[in-house]
Amino acid sequence: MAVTLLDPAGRVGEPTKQLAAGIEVLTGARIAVLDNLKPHAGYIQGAIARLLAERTGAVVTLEIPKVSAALPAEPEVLERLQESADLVITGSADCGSCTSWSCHDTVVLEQAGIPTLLLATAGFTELARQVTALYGLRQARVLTVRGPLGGSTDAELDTMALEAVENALVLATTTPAAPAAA
Amino acid sequence: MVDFASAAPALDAGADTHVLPDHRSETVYAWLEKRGWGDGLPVVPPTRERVEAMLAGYNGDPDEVIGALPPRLGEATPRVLAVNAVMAGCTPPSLPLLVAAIRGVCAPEFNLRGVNSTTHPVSVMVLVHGEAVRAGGFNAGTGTLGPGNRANATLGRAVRLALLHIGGGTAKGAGDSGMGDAATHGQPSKYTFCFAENAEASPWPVYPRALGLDARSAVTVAGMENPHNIHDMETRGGPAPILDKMATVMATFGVNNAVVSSAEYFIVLGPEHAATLAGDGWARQDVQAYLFEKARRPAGDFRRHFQSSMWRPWMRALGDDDLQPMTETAENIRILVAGGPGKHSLVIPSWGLTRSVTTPVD
Repeated sequence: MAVTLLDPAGRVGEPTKQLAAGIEVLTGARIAVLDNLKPHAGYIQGAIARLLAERTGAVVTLEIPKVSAALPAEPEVLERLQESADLVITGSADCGSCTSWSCHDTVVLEQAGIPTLLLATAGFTELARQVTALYGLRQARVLTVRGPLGGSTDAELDTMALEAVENALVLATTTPAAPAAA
Repeated sequence: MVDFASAAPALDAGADTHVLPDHRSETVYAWLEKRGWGDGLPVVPPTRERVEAMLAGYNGDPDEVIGALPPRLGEATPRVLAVNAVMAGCTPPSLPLLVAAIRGVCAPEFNLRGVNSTTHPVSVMVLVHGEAVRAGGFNAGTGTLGPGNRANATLGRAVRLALLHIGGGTAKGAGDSGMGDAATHGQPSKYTFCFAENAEASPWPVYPRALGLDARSAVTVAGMENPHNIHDMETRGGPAPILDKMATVMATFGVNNAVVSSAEYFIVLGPEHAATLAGDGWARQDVQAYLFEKARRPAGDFRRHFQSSMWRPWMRALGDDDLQPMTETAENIRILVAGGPGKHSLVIPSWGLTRSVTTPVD
């Protein structure tokens, strides 16, 4: 005998969002780092920003922390980023709540017209992609490093930054298309 | 014999319904598992008749959007919550409590986006107060946090199912709604974490009244770790040694309270410990003040263990040998009475960047 079950998940009202356009030529572009204060997040994001600047002639204009990885970036922090940056490197997505809130910040910045690289460690990249998709931005610019960040030495972090810079350049200068839905 | 490997395919009979060709519970269970729904335990199939029965006594608008639950941002309405309540095994009197609990987790200060996604094992603790305890058949006495009582077990489970289904707070590999829950291990209370305030055994005003909330019934939600037991049957005379033991449990560096000074603790006193305290003239505020003074460690130890942390400026200014409290105010130490006879109480640490919310029941 057949049975009809009601859906326990309910409707999702979140609209699909679009990425900000990538910056085709980074020369002279202003790069900012939004640090969520997870151990070593600011260090590696800053390292990637500087490598990107050296390679392209961009400038690193701002490295700013938010109060906590488990909270959204404060309005005044977002305001300073909007004033100071053409490109933001944020994160880290290196744990659960920090991934969730970093994804939130990424969506906010992209919707403000600033291409934003979301730094994720390999262990949390899939989560970052899923969560940004749930927030309506399926094609978010997720920049993966090996990780983990916590417990790594400066030398290890520098190596991870070096390995990531090529991908950072591609993500910053293009406008990735959304992957096909699973 | 049911073929679990090929659980019956469903037909979509509408936006919110699924038709299975086989009504047997084994088939429904297997289909839900394949779909990534449920908590891994068998559920009551949410048929239209059962959901309508769940909603029959609900006084509010069944289609009110209470909030969007992250990370999936599904819209929680009493109607969708009723589906989850049926699946959890709730009886209809629990639906208004479930709605109140979900209102609570949707409050900004609860930070559900963090609670539902963190690598920390945090669960949503659900605490029932007032007339609803007796009317809903909740157990506030012996074993209030243990198995055996339908109301306690199923309300907590319904909250979790709502977070799984509507919120998409599922662990990796489960579900089509994303893998929002990154908990490294999780904890058993993620299946159900509900108990009731034992007002009859409490020497102090009920917990909501202490917050200034005058409601016949209320529900508190809080993002917490599993409880840690405190055993003291030795203390005679002054009750301070009982609280000293609690302070040692509170002052550990493994809890998120150590890095987030705004975080709360819940102290669930067994009635016998509460009677010892009140018998010596202690008010709820005295217990809070004493634990605030005693649950401390040298500020230098804090700094040696944590590179970055969220402490108030006055805490950062303390000398290495000064004692730093585990939380920034005595009010963050939440005191109530639950459970039955016995010389046991509980310390429940917090996830950290979340605040408990107490909501009156509609």
